[in-house]
Amino acid sequence: MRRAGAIEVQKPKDTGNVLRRLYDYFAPFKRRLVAVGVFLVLSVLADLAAPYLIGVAIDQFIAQPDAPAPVWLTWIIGPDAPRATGLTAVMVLLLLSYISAWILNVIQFRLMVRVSQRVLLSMRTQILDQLHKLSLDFFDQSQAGDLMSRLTNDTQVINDMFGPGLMRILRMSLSLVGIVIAMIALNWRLALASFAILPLILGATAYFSRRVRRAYRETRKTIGDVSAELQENISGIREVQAFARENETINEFRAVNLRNRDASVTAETLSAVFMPVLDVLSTLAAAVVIGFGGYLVLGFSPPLVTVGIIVAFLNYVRRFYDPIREMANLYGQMQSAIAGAERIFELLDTEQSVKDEPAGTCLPERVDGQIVYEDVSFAYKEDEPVLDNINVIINPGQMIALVGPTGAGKTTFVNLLLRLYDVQSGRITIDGCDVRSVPQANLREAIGMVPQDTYLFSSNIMENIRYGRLDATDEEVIAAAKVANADDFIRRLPDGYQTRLGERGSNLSQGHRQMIAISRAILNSPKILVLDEATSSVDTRTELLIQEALDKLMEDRTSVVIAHRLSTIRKADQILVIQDGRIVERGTHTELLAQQGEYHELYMSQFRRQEEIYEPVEAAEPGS
Amino acid sequence: MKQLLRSFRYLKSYWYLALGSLFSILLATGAMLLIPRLQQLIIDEGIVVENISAVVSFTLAMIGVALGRAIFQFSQGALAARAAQGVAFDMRNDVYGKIQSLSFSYHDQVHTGQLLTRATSDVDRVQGFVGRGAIMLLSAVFMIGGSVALLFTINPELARIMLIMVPITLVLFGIFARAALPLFRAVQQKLDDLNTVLQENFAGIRVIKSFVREAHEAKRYEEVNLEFYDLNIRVNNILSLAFPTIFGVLNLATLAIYWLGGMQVIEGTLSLGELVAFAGYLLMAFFPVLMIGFIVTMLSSASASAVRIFELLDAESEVIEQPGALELPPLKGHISFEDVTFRYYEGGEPVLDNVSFSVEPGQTLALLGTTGSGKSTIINLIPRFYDVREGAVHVDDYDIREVKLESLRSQIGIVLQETNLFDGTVRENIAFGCPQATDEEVERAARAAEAHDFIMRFPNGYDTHVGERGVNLSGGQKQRIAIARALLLDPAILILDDATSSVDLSTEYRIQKALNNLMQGRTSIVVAQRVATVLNADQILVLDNGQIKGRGTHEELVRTNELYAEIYSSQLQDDRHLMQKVETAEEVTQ
Repeated sequence: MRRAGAIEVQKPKDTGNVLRRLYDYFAPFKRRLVAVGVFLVLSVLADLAAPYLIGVAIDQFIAQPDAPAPVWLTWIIGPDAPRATGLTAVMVLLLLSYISAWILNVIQFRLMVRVSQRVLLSMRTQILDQLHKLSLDFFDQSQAGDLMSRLTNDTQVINDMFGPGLMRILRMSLSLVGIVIAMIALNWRLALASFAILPLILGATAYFSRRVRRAYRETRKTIGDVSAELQENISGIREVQAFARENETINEFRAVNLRNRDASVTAETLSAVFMPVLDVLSTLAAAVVIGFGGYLVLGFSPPLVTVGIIVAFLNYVRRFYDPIREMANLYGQMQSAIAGAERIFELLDTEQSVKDEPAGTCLPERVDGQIVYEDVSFAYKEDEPVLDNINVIINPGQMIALVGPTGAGKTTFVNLLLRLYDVQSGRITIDGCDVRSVPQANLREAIGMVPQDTYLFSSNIMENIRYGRLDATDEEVIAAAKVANADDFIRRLPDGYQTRLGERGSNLSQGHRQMIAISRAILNSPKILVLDEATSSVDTRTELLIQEALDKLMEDRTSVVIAHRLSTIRKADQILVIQDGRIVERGTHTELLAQQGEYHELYMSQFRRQEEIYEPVEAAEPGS
Repeated sequence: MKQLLRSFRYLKSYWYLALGSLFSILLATGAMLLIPRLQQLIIDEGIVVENISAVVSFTLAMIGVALGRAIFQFSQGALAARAAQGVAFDMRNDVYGKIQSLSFSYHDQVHTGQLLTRATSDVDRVQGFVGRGAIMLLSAVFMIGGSVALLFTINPELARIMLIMVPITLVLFGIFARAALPLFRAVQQKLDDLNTVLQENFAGIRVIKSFVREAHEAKRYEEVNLEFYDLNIRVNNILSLAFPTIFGVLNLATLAIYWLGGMQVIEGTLSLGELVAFAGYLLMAFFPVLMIGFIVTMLSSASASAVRIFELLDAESEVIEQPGALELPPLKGHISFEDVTFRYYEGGEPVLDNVSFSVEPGQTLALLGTTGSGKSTIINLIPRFYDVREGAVHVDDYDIREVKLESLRSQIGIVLQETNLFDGTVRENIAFGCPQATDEEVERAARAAEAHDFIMRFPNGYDTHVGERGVNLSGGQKQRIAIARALLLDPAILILDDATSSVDLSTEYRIQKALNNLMQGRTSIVVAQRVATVLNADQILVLDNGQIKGRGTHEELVRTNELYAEIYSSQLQDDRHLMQKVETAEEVTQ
């Protein structure tokens, strides 16, 4: 049992478009980018000046000069300066070029980092804003979780790329251009000869880098499998041990691990070929420079090249091949960065399906709490209606219970009220106002929700309850917890209200998590309350406490309850029996039982079960 | 450091690869050192004295040396990859095997994420150092030594420049590393924080939307986001200084060589070729210095990783199979606890306090009590997920600490509180404890667990992949698969930890029915949440704070035990009220 878990390195679909949009992000920083560009060019020039100056020093002063000195040099030191003076002058120039290269590099790097970090900052902010805007149907898609894990990875890849990576690429390409120009200007014959190896190097780079990339992609995939296997069997360790499956899982792991080892060995062997091949080729280029240079010195009179130029060329050739090698490395990184940016743009472009209307709201500040569903229909997928022509009137202060089998549409009923989705036909009104004309924020402020699956944030308990009303004081939070019967258990925790919760509140039992969610809703004190009441795995006492808290919470409020507990159902002013998206029966508990329909059957099946219980009870308690 | 040295033991099975890699790197380094020397000969013996054949032959020699170097470079890389990956492979297998063997008490304390890091990135770091870094370190030292020695033979005076440059570079590297490394860690930490907020916003979107807390979350995110930005700027400020400065040292050394060396050439004490070769050796000595810097930083993180790995590998499992452990025969199903006192960690509060009871084969024992009263602990002690320190647990008169773990656990079927399904098909999941089961057996188990019907409604029936797009199992469905899984084992002893959770009424009813099927003819121990289970039990234990506060059948307890009566009536109150209502409803309809 294994999963194809790893994230593939994807190629971008439309590089041009992505680059255009990335450009838009950088556009506000145009002036700074121009400055970066100027500093970059200057620093590359300063870098390139060094080999040239060394060449001049050798030709004019270190070796016996056999060519006239360049014009600029005679301006500085005069026509007939001694060799030692000349050498000193050139060395001072070299020092100046090193120092200015240093300064320019530092400035240019810092400027660029500021720009790219700003861009990433705003990109990250946009991502969160977009997540908040998107409607729930987006989060229900199964790819959503996958997208999420990629998102965090993608911003990091883009971060690496547009920080130092981009600078290196720009720098490398500029140096390449500069080196080519310098070589041709110094001696075109020698330049052409040293370019002779270039096609070989480019060919080898293209050939290997693609294969190396593919091989590394395979290693990433196999290490992803290793992680998936680990993840699954560590979180399922209790089952593995309970069913004595240790040996099987160890063998499975060995197999996955072996695949990863082999993939890694293949990838590393390939890259172990790549680098030496490039090294041989660049040594070959150096050899060509020396061999052909030697021929140009010795084979012609006067010689067509000087020793100093040959030395300068050796320097240039080395600098020439490094950037090519590096750019081959960066190319893969660049590609995944662009693919990452593409995915981020895709997210940013996703249309929200629930939108706020521009023109304000008709919902009054103080809601009475009358809720009306008129001919409401809804489907998540076309042709599969989840709710079909629902009509309900709930009066202020009433409690309505929804019952029916799993998948009947109870949760959807509630989601539509909160506008987590929008109705597709018909309408839902609160106090006569169509919910679709109410901004989502206003609507949800009026409605409090206690979901079945309580989500807790990884801060402390105090903050988690305060989530219900952010400006609540500690005393108010504690008061709410008391009403929810949660105060007792919270105080028994090692740090009381300051106890930090693990990932999703994992260190609390489900019942306790639920009590915190109820405290939250009590603090929020909304006019309309939606409860997805769960008969969760809590012991009988806790269950009673929760029930008590819920009863308090529902006093004086309009409430819609997805009910699992008969005690709740009995208390409801109106019970809706929902089946296959339709209301099949409605009425109070007594009325519905009298109808002898679906509810009666549902109830009796529950009752029959309890009958098995009652017989011995009656026997045990003859008096009662 | 000690733990890192210990990791080198993993290299033992690959010593020939490591040795080969070391030889290759020495030969490659030697070849590399020859190249500037050959360049010098070409200039001095060839170009300057106008000897064409010398130019040609030395150039060819240079190409030959480069080729030889490339071959050794390759063999070094390929051999090191095999050694390093071999180390990683063995280490990962050991880590995984250890994780599997550690008892629940270890897993209670350690998060999945921590174990995952140890088996993946920690192993990678150690592997990188043991399989590669150490050899590179040796070769770097060899290379610096070699080039400095060669420089001294050419010209001792100029060679002194090297003696200054090497330590300065190392010191600078150290300074920058010391400044940057904590920041790198801080950036990583901040990134984790940032992702946590994002992840929470993703998973908790319903809560955020229903409480309209988007602005609050955005503010929280913005704070972390800005801190992350600041840290990145600070790291990059250091980096922007570090690399130009370190390369600045190289540049200054080059300048010094041409300046001082140039003067010597002018005076006639040095040849031009020697000067050029000198500049070449300078480069060769410089890069290994950088490499040493990198390896030293790698070393500190590798040694931290090694500590974490060996901490795990050295962890003693609390539950160990004794050397002469017995193979359990097929069990009848008698279970007894004798004066069992249990604490989860030493010096902690006892979770079970002097608990004794026994269950006859085929009987059902129900455990009743509040959260934390010790019900789950009793259940965990029977398959020996934890070991009893005081008292003893017997199964069919065998002390469970004296029998083979597998022979014990394979005869116990468990349905845990939280059902965990594995990636794979429905069939594979049901056959989890018994992979050799036939399709008929799997189906029979599924039918008995009331799971067959819903499984057949899946697109691919039993071959449906759990977790595949569109197939999301509900809690009740997962639970029934877990019941089928336990049933397939046909165990003599059955343990049910609270198997009915948040499901609707009719599903709950079905699960209950499935459970009743499952319990037929086996010794069953059940954590009771529902009254029905209590009433069906042959024996009930009422637990409170780890002590047995009452035992007997329902009829006995309801009269004699106050705690039981309280728990029982609070649950049944509801039902009694309900019954009256139904009765009136019946009357109305009549």
